[in-house]
Amino acid sequence: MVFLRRLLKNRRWLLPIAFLIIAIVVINVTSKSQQVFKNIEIPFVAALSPIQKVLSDLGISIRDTIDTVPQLFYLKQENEELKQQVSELLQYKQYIIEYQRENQELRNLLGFRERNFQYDLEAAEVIAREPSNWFNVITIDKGERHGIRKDMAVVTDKGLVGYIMSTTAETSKVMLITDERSSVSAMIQRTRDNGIVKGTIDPAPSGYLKMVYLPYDANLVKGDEVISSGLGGLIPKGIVIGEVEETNKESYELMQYAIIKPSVDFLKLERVFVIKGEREA
Amino acid sequence: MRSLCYILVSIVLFLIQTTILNINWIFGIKPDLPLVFALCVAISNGERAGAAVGVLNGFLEDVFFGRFIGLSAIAKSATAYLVGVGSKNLYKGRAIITMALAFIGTIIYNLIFVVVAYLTGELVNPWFQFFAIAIPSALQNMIISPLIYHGVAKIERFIDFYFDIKY
Repeated sequence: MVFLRRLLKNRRWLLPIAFLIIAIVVINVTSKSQQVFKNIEIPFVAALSPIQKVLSDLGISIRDTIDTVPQLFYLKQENEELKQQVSELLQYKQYIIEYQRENQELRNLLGFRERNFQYDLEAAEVIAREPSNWFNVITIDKGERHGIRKDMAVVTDKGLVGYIMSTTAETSKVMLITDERSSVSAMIQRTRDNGIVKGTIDPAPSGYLKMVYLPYDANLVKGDEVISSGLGGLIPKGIVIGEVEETNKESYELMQYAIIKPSVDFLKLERVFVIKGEREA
Repeated sequence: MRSLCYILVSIVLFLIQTTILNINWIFGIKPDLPLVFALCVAISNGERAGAAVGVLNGFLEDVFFGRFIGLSAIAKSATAYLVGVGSKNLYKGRAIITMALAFIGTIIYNLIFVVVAYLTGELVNPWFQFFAIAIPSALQNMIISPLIYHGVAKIERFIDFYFDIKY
């Protein structure tokens, strides 16, 4: 009682404490009821995702421009007298590089779609990325209206990207496989040993994955390819996840784990495919 | 008017952070513009204003990328509140002070974030990479903080000139 009386007298701390209590209630309510969270999420995402899409495209153009700066400097040094011409040509070149890169990427994606004709794929663009450094979540520009649902697998031509966390009508959140909260049933392609691929958790370095629950006697070597096993029913079987970088015994010596280098470059993720299901033969 | 201005700037910084800033990854870590903005508002306008901006920034982050609302909102607002309280008796405006507060603030933010994420089951073992994330992030935030503080000072002058001071 004395404590409460003192607290009420010292109004400076009342506001933070009230805020903390409200925050705990909000966490509790929104984590237990996805519907409440969705009701709050939808209007914000609907209002801001078109702007995110435009800014995301702008970001890609800026990155490409920055990539061409060293080249520009080199050419300027070598061809002083042709400066004007070179800068003009570079401008064209920049466009061409961009189109070539885009063309190659689209060809790869098209090739991937043709190679994976058994899946019903939906192409999507990455429009935003989680701002914090702790989680790995991206937003894509396709949602429920395009037939995308929670837990669908997201891939590129290089391999598995992650799975759908939640959806709105026009966008979806994708949890990347590097996120600490992610786990995917997987197997070593050569030895057929099964395990679970988790995100970046101890002792996997940043950007790498940890494959756990591997049999103690599994004969793994560096470079072994890791694919999804299809167990659990979320991710279809046979999608490339990455390759073994190193293996170690667990401290209790009953299992071993492997550090996996993902096959997808998550820092340069621009376009992805969502696997909506399998096509009927 | 002041509130509206800060809400707009917060939304713009959030959009930049989640889209354009993806190009600026150093060691896989990126600076946190909304957090630095909340810290600068806390230094400049006091702990309550900083905490309010922190709540808004964290709320947007939770809505767009979280699985529930509250994780980033708590971490960002509590950090801004603490930095606001801690900077009360300091001489404001000097870049070195702002940079030091941004550095310390980012470490506190990561600490609160990790504790709340751990308590809510979002992170299971975050400590092994705590310093690998917190230190580069604090350094990057420290570098950009004088620029953002300058921006906050400009916003304040703008609002004072056009809206608050009556002649």
